[in-house]
Amino acid sequence: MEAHLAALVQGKPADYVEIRVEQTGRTRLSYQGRKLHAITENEDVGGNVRARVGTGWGFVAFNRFDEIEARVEEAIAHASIMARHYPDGPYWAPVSPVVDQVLAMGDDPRQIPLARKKAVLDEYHQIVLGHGPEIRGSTIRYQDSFTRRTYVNSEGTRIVQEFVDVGLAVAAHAARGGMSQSTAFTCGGSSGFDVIAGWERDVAETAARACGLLDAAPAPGGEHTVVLDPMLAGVFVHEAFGHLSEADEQAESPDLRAVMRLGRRFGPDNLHIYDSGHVPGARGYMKYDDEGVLAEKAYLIRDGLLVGRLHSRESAARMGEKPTGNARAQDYRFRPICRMRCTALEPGEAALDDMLRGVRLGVYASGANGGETRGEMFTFTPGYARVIRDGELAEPVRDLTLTGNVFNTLAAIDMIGSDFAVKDSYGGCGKGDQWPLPTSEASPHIRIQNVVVGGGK
Amino acid sequence: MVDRVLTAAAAAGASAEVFHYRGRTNPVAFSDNRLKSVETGSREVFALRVVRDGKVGFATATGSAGETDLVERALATAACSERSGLELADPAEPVVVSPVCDRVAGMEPEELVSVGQTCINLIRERHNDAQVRADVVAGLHEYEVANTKGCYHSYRATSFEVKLLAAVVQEGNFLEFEASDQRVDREIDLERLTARINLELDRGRTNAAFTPGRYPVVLTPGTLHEVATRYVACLEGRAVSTGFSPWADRVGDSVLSPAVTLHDDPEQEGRPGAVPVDDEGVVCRRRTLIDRGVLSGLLLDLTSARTLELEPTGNGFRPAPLYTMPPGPRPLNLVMDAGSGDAVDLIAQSGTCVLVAMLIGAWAGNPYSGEVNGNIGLGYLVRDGEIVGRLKDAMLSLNAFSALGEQLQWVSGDRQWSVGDAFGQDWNALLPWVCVSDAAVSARS
Repeated sequence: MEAHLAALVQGKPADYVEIRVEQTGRTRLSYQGRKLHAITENEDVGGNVRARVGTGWGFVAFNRFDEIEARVEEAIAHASIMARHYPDGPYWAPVSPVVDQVLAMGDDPRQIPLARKKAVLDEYHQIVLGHGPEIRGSTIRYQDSFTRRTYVNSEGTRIVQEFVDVGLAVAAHAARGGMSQSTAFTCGGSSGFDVIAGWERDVAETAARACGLLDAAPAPGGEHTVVLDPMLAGVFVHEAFGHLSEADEQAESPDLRAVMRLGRRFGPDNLHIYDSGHVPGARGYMKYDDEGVLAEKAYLIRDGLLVGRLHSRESAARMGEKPTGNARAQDYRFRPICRMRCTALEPGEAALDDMLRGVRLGVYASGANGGETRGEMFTFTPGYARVIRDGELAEPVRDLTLTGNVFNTLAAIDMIGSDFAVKDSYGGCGKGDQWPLPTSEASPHIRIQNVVVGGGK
Repeated sequence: MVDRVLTAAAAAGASAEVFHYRGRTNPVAFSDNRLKSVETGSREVFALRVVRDGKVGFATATGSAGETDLVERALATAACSERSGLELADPAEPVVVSPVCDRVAGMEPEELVSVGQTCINLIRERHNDAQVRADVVAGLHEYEVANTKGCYHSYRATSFEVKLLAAVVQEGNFLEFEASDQRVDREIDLERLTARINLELDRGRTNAAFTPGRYPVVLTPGTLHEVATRYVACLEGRAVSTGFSPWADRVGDSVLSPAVTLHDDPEQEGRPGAVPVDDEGVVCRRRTLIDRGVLSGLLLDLTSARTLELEPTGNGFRPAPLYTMPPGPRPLNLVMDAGSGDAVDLIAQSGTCVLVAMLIGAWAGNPYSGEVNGNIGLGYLVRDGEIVGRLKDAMLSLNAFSALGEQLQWVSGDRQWSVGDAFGQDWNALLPWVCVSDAAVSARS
């Protein structure tokens, strides 16, 4: 197929043409309450054409392949329209053409019988339901997919990549009287189905926590010292800094660029943050991004100072920097934009006990239940939280959301743990309409001063 | 293909339902005040649901896939499933006609570019330091729903959406506000839409010092939409049938203030919720969900209706635009009855309060507890009825059931449409401004 597509991008009345074709087979199982809700099998095949004429870009996405040549012409026509309205550029960083085939590193989940997948999930479901009378039900979401992406462009790049993606979330719902609480366990990866097996103890713990939350006090509103577990710390870095580092907005905004100047201090000397696609087994793993650029490690913060950003070929050219392999499209329906891959905060030397010690009243927060970044503000919601009182973990608190400002919250990190783990979860990152994109996060425990906690008390 | 799939499924001893979507959208995107991309997207999906030996299976395929494979995959998932009593929809006559606007269907890219450029100019004329992102999308959509009980519906719909985000970036002060509108025709009032943004960029530039604590809070239609997602979660058939919803046994009870009446209404002139049937072939109609505070209606799909032994309500939809998930309940258009008085006057008479124009992250967390915790992305301190300035680094915490329950102080007579955009919340809402007597506003000291 690549040869046929490669021929289609050559000799066109355009300065650049690329075609992407994608085939994905996906299986989903979901449980709600006390029952299996649905098993779904999706086959999704589609493609797109992106073209540049002068300074203008056009994009066409489709599910039918009978008229690809017409789609190429349409993309070129769109690009010409844009060129008429756009005086600037073109912005397109040079990269060497690549010819490569990357087979899936993980085990193909389509080879696992459906009955086996269901058996593992049935057991998790029963573990939660069997915990006790206060368990009202359990929501389980599981998905696996195998994707084959073929990418060719008029510069001579021809890449085929295969991806395996697996994700699981098991939520326990507890209720007593009018009070209801839930918390969830989540995991995922790109190594195959087995990444979601063997978590019986964590699932049981999740059920116990949900029941415990029925007695929890509301979150203490106000500013507090907060210790985050590796999963929540990873989400924090993703929301508090990762999105800010996606260079497509900075590339077009002189005001934002002035604020994000290289060398600016964002955190303490022992703070190092990077983003990489070369993390085998992680959901955010990839060898190349969706523009054929190697998805190598890119440092964002070193020694507390801003040293890099996450680029596409266009943002890199606009800013006079090099592409970093962060151009990703959710699927064939979209053009690539700057996205994260596996975003990591490097470990330090502190032990968890040291972090708790010296906290008279604070919060220990773990797990992740969503987050959002807008402008300079971000929020992140833990799956579970406990009060820290006089250096010890104390009672759980409920309905907590944490917030901060991207420009000063990193500076408030005063301790970085020595434990480090790559954490994956079900779902993914959203940016515009492109959701859920598989990304991974990695971090040790961290402690942050003066985090604003939203809560009723 | 639809007929062939149904025939093949029936031949295998299953009853079956096919949902077929084919659509084309033409988005143009602007960022940093300039045209960024001109696009076309076309999508075709076949979504099959089968029932064999009482077990339900689902499979989907795009575009040019074959029917044999689709049927086999669906039957394989059914074989692994558990028994459910699902009955597919009976044939029925629709009451709502889907409005199709040929003017929208025929919109060329240049015309969409002109709409986006007009919006950017209307904002920049007033705020020449604003960076505006605009997405203008015209779409034409075709739907078919058919099943082995003889149910067959097909209809077309058009969509036109303008989504605007304006930001003013200054060191230490990011000001940003978003406004969008969605219709089936071309009648989006660009002056009114951009005026909403210009108002917030006017008044958001001055920060106010304030003390964290408990305040009366005024929610705009946009922020009330976020709170209303909690009510929708509690009305939703699956949450009711599993018992997660705190409203599960409360039909006929008072659950919110008598000043609150909520409808699910497909027939709102020019609005996208006007469809004749849901994705399961059940006829859609206007229904009252909360009647003067009393719970009177739920949002049901075939599965939850069956479990609850109630009639399905025509709310079973597959999440757009992928259509690869099984149907689940969602509203068509959520409409709250107007109160009285203009919001501007009511705020001026409200003494000291916090006016919340935008929330960040409020969607996260457990919706059935009613807790809404979000960063106040844009909000103002009001003192003696006048806006003093913008609140920075502040969080709002309230409980949705109390807020429009015993804490509800007033409901404005004027209302505004807000577009749903929180991860699969594909429903629009017509909501007023409301004042909640008491909510926690925490902040950096």
